[in-house]
Amino acid sequence: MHDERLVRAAFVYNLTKYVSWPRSGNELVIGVIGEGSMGSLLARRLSGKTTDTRTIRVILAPSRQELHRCDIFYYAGESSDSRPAILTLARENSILTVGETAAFARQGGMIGLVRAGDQIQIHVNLEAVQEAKLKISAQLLNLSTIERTGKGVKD
Amino acid sequence: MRPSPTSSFARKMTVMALLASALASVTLMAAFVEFDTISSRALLQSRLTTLADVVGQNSTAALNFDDRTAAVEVLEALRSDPPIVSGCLYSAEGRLFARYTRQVDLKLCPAAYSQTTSLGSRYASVTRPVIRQNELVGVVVLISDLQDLQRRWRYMLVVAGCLGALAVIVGGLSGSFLQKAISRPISALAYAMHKVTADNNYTARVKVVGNDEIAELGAGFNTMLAELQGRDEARRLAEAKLRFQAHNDTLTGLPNRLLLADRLSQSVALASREQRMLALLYIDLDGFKLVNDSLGHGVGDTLLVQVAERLLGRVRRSDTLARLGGDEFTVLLALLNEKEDAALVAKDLLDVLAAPFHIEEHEINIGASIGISVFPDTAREAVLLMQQADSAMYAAKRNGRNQFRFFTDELGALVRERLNLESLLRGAVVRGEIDIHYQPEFDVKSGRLIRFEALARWTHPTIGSIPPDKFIPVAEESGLIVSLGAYIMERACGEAVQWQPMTPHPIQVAVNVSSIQFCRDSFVDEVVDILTRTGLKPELLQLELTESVMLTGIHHSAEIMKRLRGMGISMVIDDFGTGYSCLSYLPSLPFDALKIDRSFVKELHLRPEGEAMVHSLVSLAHNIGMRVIVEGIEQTEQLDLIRALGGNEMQGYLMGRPTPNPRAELTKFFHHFEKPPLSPDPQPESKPPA
Repeated sequence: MHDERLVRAAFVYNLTKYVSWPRSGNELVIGVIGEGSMGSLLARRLSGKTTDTRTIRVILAPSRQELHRCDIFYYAGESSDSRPAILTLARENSILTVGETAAFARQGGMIGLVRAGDQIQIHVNLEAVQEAKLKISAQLLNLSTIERTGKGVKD
Repeated sequence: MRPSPTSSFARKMTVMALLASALASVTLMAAFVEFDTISSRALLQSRLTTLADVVGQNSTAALNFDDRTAAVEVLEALRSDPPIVSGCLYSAEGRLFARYTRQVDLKLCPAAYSQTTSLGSRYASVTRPVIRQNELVGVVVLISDLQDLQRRWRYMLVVAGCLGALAVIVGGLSGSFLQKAISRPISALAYAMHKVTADNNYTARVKVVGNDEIAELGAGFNTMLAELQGRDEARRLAEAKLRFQAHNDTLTGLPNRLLLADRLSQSVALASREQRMLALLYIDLDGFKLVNDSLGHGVGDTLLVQVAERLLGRVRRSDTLARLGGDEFTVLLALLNEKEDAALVAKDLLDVLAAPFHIEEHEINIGASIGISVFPDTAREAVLLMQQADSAMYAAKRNGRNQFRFFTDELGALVRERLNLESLLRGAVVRGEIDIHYQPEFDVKSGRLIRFEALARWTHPTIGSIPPDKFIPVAEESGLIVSLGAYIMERACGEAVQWQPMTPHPIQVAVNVSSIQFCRDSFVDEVVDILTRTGLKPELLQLELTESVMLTGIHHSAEIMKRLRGMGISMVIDDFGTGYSCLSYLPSLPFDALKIDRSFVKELHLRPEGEAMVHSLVSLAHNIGMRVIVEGIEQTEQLDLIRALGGNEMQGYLMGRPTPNPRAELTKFFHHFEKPPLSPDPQPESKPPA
């Protein structure tokens, strides 16, 4: 894997094709939470791309107002601990939350893009997804490892 | 049983049916197999496409999220479909992403999509794009083995072949059965044709069933046969008619001479083989000419038809009644038991003809003379039997008519003698063998010589003298009498001219005339010619006719006599009382005198009834104004009686025999003052004959 970040960016983009939101608009807004280069890379790679007629917009470090407009929260970095308030917001506003660890999915996040060797594995917390009234394609689920909230921290 | 051409026709029909069904089934099966191949290929193609789409669809996420394991898992699902030997999944960039192969050694998925090559006829492949939300995600290539399809194709071929063979067998069988509907009527036609040509039997017909072309052909054939049959019948009828006309008499329908000759020779052959007898009856009607002349040919023909009917009513079916022509009939009695049977039949036939015929208003009495010849008594050949029956018939006729007579060897000798005489007689006149003797006739009352009767004498240089009663009938039958009679008449007339200067009163000459001479149309002219040539006065000629003159037709005879008498010629009926004539015709014929036959004179003084007979004849003649001449006086007793009975003129050996030199007699007579030598009456009379 030459650049893990590029693969994650492609995964995020591809995720939009397998998830359906209860609302729809012209834009698909991705809010990047956390530090690191991942946010700018996403912005660089995905901004302006269309996915199913929606144009992707990447917001780095969104404000409180901007949070509401997001369709996806991307938690960048290892450090990204769960912030229960935002996760709750996301759950209530049907915002897909994507993190980079398996723990993310267990701790209330919806999808974790987890590195395993030279591959990126997808971990899905189905409860969280369903709570947020989002739908994930069964195809994606076929590839995914299903997680539950509150599982052991060690995994 | 049938002729071979028709069975070959049936065979051809069967072969044609077989060929047709084979062609049809092969075409059908080929089309079926081809269609099946095409459709199963299309089916495979569409199945592969669907499968590729499903695989692609299930592989999108794996491609999107670069999950080769998941992709391989999806592809592994193809294992449940045996014909699919390989599935290749390429990324959107064209790199091999995942692959599935049924057999490990198969290398059907190149590393890059662009390296995909043709797989040959063994495999069929389908390439489908993998698209997620309008974006090309990758490419699926599915490869299927066609072996199954080919195996199925071969299997189909075998099934089709079997079905085709079955169709050919069924088609052939049903064809050979169904073709009978066509070939059977045609066979029947051919059979009928064969029958017609083999037997010339035009009555054969074909049974016509239905209304197709064969039925039409059959009907046409029947029509043609009917036409042929009609023509054949017409031809046969015409032939039968011709044959009938050739073999039958047109008037009576009886067999004619030709057919009789045929039957006679057949019967002779049969009788000869079976050692039986047969008789031929030759029938000649008496006096038919009289009927024909006096009542006309129409009545004559009717009479012949009625005679034929009567005769036909009396002969057996096995006998042949034929008409030879004229009034001559024959009856052929085949397979006779004895000669007397023929006599019985002849008697029967004479009886049946003796009954009067009624034609129009006429009652006609007619008789017949029958001559009979018997096989094998006197002849063993048909021709001879015919001649003998004919001769016997003539003999019967001469014998006095209305009787039958068997041919005998004596008759045969007679006939031969006659034939001999006839050949001798021919030329007798030229050779100077015919001489004329003259017998004097005298007036009874005066005893004066009044005429000489000319009598023919024939002296043959080797045979010697032949009496008139022998050669006159021969002359009559042969027709020589015409020239002989004319010769005698001319010489007699010439002689009579010589007499006249020698006597104080005219001396007549009497000449006998045969009815055959008399009946000739030229007779009167001939007499006139002779009188002219000799210079004899007609009053000095006396013609003597026999009763047979009546047979030629009374009216005709009377006419001729009137013409002769008109010239002054005397007419006398000769040999009166011997024939078959009845007295009733006498008054209607203009005779001057009748000459009583010598047979009456012979019996005159021997039997009382003889005298009565002559007496009544004399009275009869006198009553109708005729004189009576008596011939054959040989004794003075006879002369006395004749004189007593009132006879007018007389002739006989007592007074004078026939003499070849009458002039010497005349000189003698008139030198003695006309005194007849044996005249008992001395009173001379100079009265000339009336």
